[in-house]
Amino acid sequence: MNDTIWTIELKIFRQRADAQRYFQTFQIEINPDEYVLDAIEKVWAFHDRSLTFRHACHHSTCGACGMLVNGIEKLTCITSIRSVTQNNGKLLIEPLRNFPVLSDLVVDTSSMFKALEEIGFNQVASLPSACLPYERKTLEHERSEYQRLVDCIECGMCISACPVSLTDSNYLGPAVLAAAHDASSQPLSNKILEIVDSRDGLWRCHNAFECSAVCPSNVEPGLRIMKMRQTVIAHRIKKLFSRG
Amino acid sequence: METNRLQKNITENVWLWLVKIIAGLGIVIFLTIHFIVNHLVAPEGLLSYADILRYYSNPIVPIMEAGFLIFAVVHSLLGLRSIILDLNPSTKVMRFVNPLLIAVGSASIIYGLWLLLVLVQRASL
Repeated sequence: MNDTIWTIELKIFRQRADAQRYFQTFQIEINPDEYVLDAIEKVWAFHDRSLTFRHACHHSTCGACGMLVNGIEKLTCITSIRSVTQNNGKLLIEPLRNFPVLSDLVVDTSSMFKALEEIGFNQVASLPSACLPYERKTLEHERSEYQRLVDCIECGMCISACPVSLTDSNYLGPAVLAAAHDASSQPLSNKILEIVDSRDGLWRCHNAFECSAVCPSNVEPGLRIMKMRQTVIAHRIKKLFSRG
Repeated sequence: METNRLQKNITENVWLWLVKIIAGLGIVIFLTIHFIVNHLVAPEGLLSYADILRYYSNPIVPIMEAGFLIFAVVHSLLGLRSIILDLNPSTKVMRFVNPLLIAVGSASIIYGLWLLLVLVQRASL
């Protein structure tokens, strides 16, 4: 990190409970190699202690600090100031879309977590099912059973970017459908089938792939939804012919 | 049971999605053939009515164009239905929209096939 200091203007979304929403502007000095989350923390520390925002790990593991930076979903702890503005430039900071705003930049993601729980999402999975189809699986000993943390950090940014979630609040959303794909690596259970092959499930996706574009962990929810569709179609066709 | 039946009217489902994808694939295939034949195979292109009739005298052409017509109508109307569903219509609205789309699609296909048969008939004279 060099000693350069930039002056930037942060325009931050503010809203308390049911009060009128508005934008508040703050001028701060910051090293351009610092991150957007650092800038927001400076605002909180030196300008307005009432600003609420969610953060924890500061290294893209917890998924708490997802926000809209200049209108695009970003994990603010790994988004450098340099990559989104310039000296004397501006930054527009808003809460994630498609979730109810609790306060300022904090949104209520409980609907996503409930759906993830219902689908049987596991944070830890066997190596083959945790990896994407094109990822190289490194198994030192073929008989060993390796496990790893799955890539999804449950930040909700995919749901925020999804155009279908914008129009239909009941749509399960990319994170949940991608989790269903993970959970369905084993034979497709009736429970998962019932959830994903439903009115608010797989078939509402318009293949915009905005979810994959904003995902900070390369989970590729869009690809996983397509794979899940293949699985469900194969299952339905098989079932259709097995009846006769 | 009645609620489930009504819910199905206002949703996407596996079979409609499969039909939409197959129709989309059909459009890509037939449109490619259509462009190649029209612009590269037909001598000097199809510029006059007589050229069109001569073109339709080949039995493969009306079959291909009929397929193209059906795939295009089915794909576009299912796509339109998806867009309507994004507007969160009520069950009442969808009970009206579904038969309307089926009627528009059927009428378009029947009219298109009738035109096709007329061309084939005139080409055979």
